[in-house]
Amino acid sequence: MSDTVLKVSDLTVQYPTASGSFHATRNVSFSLQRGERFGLVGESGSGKSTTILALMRMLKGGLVSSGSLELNGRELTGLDDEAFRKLRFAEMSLVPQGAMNSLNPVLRIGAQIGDIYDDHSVRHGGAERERIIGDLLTRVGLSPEVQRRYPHELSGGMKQRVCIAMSIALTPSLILADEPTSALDVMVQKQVLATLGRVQRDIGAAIILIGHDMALMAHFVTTLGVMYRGELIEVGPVRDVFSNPQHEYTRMLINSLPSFDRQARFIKAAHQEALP
Amino acid sequence: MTWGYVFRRLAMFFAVVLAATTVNFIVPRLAPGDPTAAVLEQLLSRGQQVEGAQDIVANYRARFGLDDPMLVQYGRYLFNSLRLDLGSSISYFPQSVTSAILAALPWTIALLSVSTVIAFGLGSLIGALLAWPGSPRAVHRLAPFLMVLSAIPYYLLALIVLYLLAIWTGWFPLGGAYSVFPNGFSLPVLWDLAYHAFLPALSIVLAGLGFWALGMRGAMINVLGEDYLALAEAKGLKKRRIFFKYAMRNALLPQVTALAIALGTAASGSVLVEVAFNYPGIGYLLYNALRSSDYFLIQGVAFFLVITVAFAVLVLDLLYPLLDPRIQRL
Repeated sequence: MSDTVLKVSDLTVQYPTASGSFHATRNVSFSLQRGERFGLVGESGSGKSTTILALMRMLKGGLVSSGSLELNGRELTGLDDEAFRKLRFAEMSLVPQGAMNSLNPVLRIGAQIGDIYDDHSVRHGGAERERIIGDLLTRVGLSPEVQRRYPHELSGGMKQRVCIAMSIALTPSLILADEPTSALDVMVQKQVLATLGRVQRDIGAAIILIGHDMALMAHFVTTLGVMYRGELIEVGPVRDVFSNPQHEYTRMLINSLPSFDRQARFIKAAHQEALP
Repeated sequence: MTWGYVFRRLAMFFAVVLAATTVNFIVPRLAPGDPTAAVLEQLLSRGQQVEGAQDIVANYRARFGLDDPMLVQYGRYLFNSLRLDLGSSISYFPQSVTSAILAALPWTIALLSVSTVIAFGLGSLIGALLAWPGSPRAVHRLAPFLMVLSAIPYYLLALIVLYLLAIWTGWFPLGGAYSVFPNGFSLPVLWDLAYHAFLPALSIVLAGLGFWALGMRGAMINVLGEDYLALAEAKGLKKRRIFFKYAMRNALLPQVTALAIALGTAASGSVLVEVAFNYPGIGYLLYNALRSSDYFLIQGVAFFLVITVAFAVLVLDLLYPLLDPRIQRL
């Protein structure tokens, strides 16, 4: 088995609009090795989420006009819908952005995780299913009891942990995380991200993490890709990108991070402006 | 479900019944004058002689307890209502109001509950399919047809149905609820009942279908935009499961609330359907009572309608936490 999990080549996604087609992504190419952590940063509308949605074949209204997606050596673009459905979460899972509303409010957590097994033809006995879901919840730092709860009985951080537990239910080789912590407060963000990192390492999956918090990203990922206006303008090991950015936009992103010596300069400048 | 919730719902039920009984008591007494005196004056104005008119009025007032203080009258009224003693009917004379109503009630309840549930279920399913992107094209063509249907008044629909399926083709009976009054339930009896109930039920279902379908379509469109639907798709769930367990299950919640309200209007709204089909239910009874100014019967029917609607709402309220786990927190 080769070590390359995902190979994206020349991915172009277009949205047809009244005034011609809009390119949401243009010729995006990258590849992921087993266990690699790949970060995608860029401003809103730069095509990060579109890339992930194209991978999951969940674009609403958009279409992949060219390019190829290869997952575990299998080409995805020609796959029929039923085969693609079976592949979701089994080989490639998603940790959603809106943790608050991503769980069905009328189903118990256990049932919502159980649905994944049921529709991927994984059969368990009642007690065995309960134990497996309990284990899954324990791995993301929740009590096995949580499976009997409804989403409204959980906090935002707990809900996102449930989503992480779901994403590893079928031990996929790739996890897509679309700003998994953006709805949470700063303290919980770090803990949830640490949990995501731990389970990802445990099952040996590669991960694509989308975010715009450069600092959080720098700690988490090994490879960083920068997207700007639908193009992947820079990819490299996270250290290289930070120490030697090739692109002007990347430099701007890095400079936008608050740092102590620059804060002093800002304050000084502000004082000088205030004095006539 | 907590006991506190059940208790609050039950208390609400009794409060509604009490309030309805009170209104039922007050409204006729707000009318100026005295009922007995009014009848006598009518006779006098026609030039008829009434011997000892004063005595007659006084006699009747004493007999109906109208000289007692209001509170005593009110207490007696409540007590009698509690025993379901609602007086005698004028138009069905030897019968009491209660027995006249109890004879009509099963017909209406059977007709309405079955046809409302069918309209609700079928309408909701069609409405959900209207909003579902993966449903067949033929379903989407139904939308304008349903809008037209929901705009036609149900009694007009009843007349059209009656004309087409009973008068023109002769497939169904013109009216009534049975060929021979049923004694016990056997298969031919049930078949006969269903055969007679079909047309009134059909007109109620047709009239309700558009309402339920359009309401469900709107609720469904909202639910389809929710994050949990996107995650359900991402999870690789089968379309059928996403449709029923994730989308429809949630879109039904506002529909069930609407059902509680609709049951109220359906009970009184069926009056004209029952009249059109000569169906011996509450609506038909009320129609006759109104025509013959049978005040006791009108009052009694109103009292029973309030109780049945309050009871239906109570049942839905108690079922609702099973549908929406968030509700028991309130």
